Amino acid sequence: MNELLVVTPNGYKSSKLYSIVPTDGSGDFTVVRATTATRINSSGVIESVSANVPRLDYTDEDCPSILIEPQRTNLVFPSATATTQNVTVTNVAHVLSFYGTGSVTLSGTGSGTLNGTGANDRVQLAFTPTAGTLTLTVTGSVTSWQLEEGVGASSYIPTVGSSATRNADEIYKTGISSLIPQSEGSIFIDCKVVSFNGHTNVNILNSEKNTSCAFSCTLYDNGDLVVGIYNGGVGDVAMVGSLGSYTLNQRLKILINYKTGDSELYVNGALRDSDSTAFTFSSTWDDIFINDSTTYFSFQGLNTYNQVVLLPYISDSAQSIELTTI
Amino acid sequence: MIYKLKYTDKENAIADLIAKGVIVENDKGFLNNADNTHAIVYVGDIIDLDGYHVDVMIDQVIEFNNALNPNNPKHTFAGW
Repeated sequence: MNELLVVTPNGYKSSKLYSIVPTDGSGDFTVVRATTATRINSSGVIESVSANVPRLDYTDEDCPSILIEPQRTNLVFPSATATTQNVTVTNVAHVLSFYGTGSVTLSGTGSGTLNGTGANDRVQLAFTPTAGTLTLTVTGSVTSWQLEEGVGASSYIPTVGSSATRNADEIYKTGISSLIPQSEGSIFIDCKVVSFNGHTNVNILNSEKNTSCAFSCTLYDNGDLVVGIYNGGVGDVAMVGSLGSYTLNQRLKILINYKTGDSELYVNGALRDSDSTAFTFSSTWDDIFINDSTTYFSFQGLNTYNQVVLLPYISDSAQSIELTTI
Repeated sequence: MIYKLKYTDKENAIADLIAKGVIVENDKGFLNNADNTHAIVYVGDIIDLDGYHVDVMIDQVIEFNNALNPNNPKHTFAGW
């Protein structure tokens, strides 16, 4: 299909995620995360990943996906084997998670019990404590445990003698206007949202981080997939693909065919919306940010990606349906 | 650079971090990290210590007059 840019969970090194297309390196993505992190490797084992290295994660899958997460802090320590302890917490959403067959009971500013189901199974409990001291009472085998502010357990953050923070992942490419069709083109995204991170909407893919951004693709927790193509604030293209609802970890195959006066949005094998608004980008579109916290709309979720592809404009509806069919 | 900072409360912390360019507020009212800022962690209250504590990781040298250098920090960045 004469792809212009193809990003997959493929080759990488520190600070770089190689694109399959183009092959000259001009489309390779920059990776920033100044802390170490962890992933589930191909053997299903938690593995440490060095700073600024992208994470190809195999959680619940035989094939890897690119894991992009917001900043999170594990408040309990040490984390390898849990011990009963008190933690000072604030009145915001928290999530407790662990592996093992034991249990953790909350008291003080929170309540509830989380029971383990197996040495290789991760369980999690969402709750919102009152501000103050939360007591976590551990019984039995509780390993790789984590207490973090936020919605949805993120990847495991090992701790030893203090709480520890994993920085947000940033995966982006700037200065590639020559690879991005400026008048008409297509964007294909194959991804999942693991958690909305407490927001009602999360970034799927964005253009520039400044106010004159050209493009945004956002998923709302009610199942609306919203695409904006910005025409300087006048006659913007806005397409809403309503899925009815969205179940976390549901796979999305999104195709945006953009062309002045003839734009379409396909999701999971169906045309969801179209827009006949004539447009030119409000500024040259030359950057791509994937689920980034630093873009103008700073709603970073816990997302995984199988593909991001830029193509020449696809006008064939049958081809669009075939490409997005799960 | 990693700075471990102590303020009287969170409001003072945010005001100082905006003033020093660590975080920026856009025209939608969102507080975002500045381009050089990798992470800001609002550690908050620490048992047996006074003040409101914030850890900052940033690619920039900033003159803070409230920076601490604890021997036994209650919070770290992964891998540091």
